[in-house]
Amino acid sequence: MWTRFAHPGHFMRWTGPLMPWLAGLSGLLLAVGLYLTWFTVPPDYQQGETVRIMYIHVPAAWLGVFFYGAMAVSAIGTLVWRHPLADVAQRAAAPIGAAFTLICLVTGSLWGKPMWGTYWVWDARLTSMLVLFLIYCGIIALWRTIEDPNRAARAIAILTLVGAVNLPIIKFSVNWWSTLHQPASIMRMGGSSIDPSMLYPLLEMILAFTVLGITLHLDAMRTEILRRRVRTLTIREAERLDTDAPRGAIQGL
Amino acid sequence: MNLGPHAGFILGAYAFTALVIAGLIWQAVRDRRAQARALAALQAASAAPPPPAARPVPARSPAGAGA
Repeated sequence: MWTRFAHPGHFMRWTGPLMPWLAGLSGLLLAVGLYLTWFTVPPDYQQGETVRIMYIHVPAAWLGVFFYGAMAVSAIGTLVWRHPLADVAQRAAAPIGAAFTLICLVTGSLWGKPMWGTYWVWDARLTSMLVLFLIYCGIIALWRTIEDPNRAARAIAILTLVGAVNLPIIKFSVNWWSTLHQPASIMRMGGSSIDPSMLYPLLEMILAFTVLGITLHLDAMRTEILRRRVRTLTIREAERLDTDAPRGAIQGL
Repeated sequence: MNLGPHAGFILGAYAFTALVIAGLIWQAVRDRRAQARALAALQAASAAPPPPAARPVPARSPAGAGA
């Protein structure tokens, strides 16, 4: 059943009617999340109003890591099963993951200045997130460098899997090293340390960002499939014109 | 709502996020439309008969053969 749904033709058919609903749901969840963030969340007793940056910083960080994880799974699909949709999924995820990682870095920096007194510090968590952003940039650049999509897919799948080593480093950096960044406060042993009045709006924003990210990813995958069809048809059309052209016309080219 | 002395940082963070997400959506829509247009043009071209210049030219008889 999975193979059937993952066939590019079927994928285009079943995702087509889904896209407007997902886009609407993303907008609705974002609107609710922003309302909760701006009108119901109390200021933090230490950080004051700057805590509102958390509601975009944490979901963006989550998506930056989530999309890289999805790319690593797709890379296995490309290398082991050579499934065309795995490669499409990987390629479509890279710019979205990079964009959310950039949001995480910039909003974290803007949060750090009033709270830590500096925009940037070479702290393990911050540095590993910067490394993630650079890996994303490297993958996007490599894709544009290699013209043959099959060769590009395999090279990038290997690079993606090598880069996946960074994911546990990001997650556990705050436990392994003494860092300026706060330790885990949502997913940790013994439950979340955040007050429910702040935790539920944060979880809502994480859900909103995740639905938005998945919507953008599915849309980018659909566009990537169209791009590959355009490439195939362009090659076929060029071959057809070459075959049909009179001999003299070809020689004259 | 009074955002206090750090309002610039808070609004800046939200403005940057909105800008990047708007850019992602705009790029997604633009790219999809461009690919859909290119695909439609190619499908129309492949359905049409080949242009006159590309049609096979009937073989000419050797010079002087008909004289």
